[in-house]
Amino acid sequence: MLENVRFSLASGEFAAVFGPSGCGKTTLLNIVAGLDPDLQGEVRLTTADDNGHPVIGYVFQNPRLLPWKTVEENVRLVLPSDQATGDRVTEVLHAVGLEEARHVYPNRLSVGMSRRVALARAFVIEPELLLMDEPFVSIDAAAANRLRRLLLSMLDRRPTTVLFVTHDLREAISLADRILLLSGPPTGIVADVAVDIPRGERTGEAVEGFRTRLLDECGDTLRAALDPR
Amino acid sequence: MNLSARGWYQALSAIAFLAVWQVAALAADSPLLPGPVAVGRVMVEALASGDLGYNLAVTLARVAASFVIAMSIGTAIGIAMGRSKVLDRLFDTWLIILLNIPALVIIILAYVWVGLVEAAVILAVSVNKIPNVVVTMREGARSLDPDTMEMARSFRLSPGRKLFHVVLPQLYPFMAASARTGLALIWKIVLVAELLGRSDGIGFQLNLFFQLFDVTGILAYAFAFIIVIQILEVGVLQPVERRVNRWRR
Repeated sequence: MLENVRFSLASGEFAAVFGPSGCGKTTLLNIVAGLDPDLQGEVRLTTADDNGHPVIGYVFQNPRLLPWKTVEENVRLVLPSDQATGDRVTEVLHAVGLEEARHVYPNRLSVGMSRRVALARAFVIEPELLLMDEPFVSIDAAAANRLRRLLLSMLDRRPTTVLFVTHDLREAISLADRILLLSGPPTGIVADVAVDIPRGERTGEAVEGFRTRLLDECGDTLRAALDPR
Repeated sequence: MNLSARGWYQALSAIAFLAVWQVAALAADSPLLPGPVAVGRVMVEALASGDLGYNLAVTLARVAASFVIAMSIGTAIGIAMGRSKVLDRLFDTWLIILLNIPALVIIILAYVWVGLVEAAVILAVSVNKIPNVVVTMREGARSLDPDTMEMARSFRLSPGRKLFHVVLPQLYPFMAASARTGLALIWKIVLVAELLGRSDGIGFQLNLFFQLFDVTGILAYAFAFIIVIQILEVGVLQPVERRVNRWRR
């Protein structure tokens, strides 16, 4: 499905992977996460001190919480051992605003809350690489915006390399340092664009302007593939 | 229907059963069909003399040992066969053969090969039950949610944590189903095994009563055991199930 996809991320970089639905964006994340057994190719991940596999946090498209575990248990489960980690779980639940709901089972949560638990679960292990697969779809725009701000504030506190899949170009522009445009078939990287608007100035207008310029620069066929509207 | 209403219906149903039985016994007026009152009296006497308690305890110990062995081995094999296509293909035929050997044949062979000892009973009963557990647990292992399994892999959960927190909770409904049918099946097979080659336990006692044509004794022992199994079901299996399912709405 994916062919000749080649890119590298600098430490602390936020890269958005943008492309039409069904072009293999999720497959790309699964390959990086080591979940694809049929991979022909290579993923090289190095840690800051270069000792072994980096810690990866994965936020799936569906939150994938364990329904038989409470919010707190879901978050605690992914920590390597049961050593005195109570504080860190509390801290991260506080950061996503779910301290009150820590003993609630996931089937009592709203979609937005479940997504925040998934975010907390990915952050609690203090990942070096954060994989996010359209983590803010299927919630209303206001809630999605709140979650985006939450993500940025958590990244501020603890800089992390992020690979963020989305099919929403505005979301990509407002969050990322760099956008990888995917198109196909077979899917490959057709453009690698740096988002040069400073973080503080990514207002609705600035994002819209950047998007128009980006679409203008792309050829017609590409534009049709990337932005059917 | 709420819980207490269901309790009332169950009580009513039990009373109706006893009433029908008593009427039938009065109508038949024969020692071959004693009524519930006569059976109850023998039950109390046997309890007072200690015979019933002792034989119940012996049989229950055999049931418990076979149950634990069959559930653990059957669950392990079932998960392995459910998760590995190779193992499933290799041993599927074995499973079908084992499922179709009559319990009686396994019991006889166990006594012939192992001897008339306790281990033979436990072995025979476990071997009878294991294939059923395997079939149910294999079904459960096949239906494990691939999304949560992927989650466990991407977060690099240790094998133990994956088993106890991700895999087994998904299998609890299947375990509950096989525990319930298991309890019902196992105690019946234990009685047959006792009848054939042991000198204590409910099955041995039933054989004794059979030779004396003592139907009252047979019914007294059988019902005592049914009551104990019901207590296990309500007092142990159901509370465990409720605890495991407390997250469901």
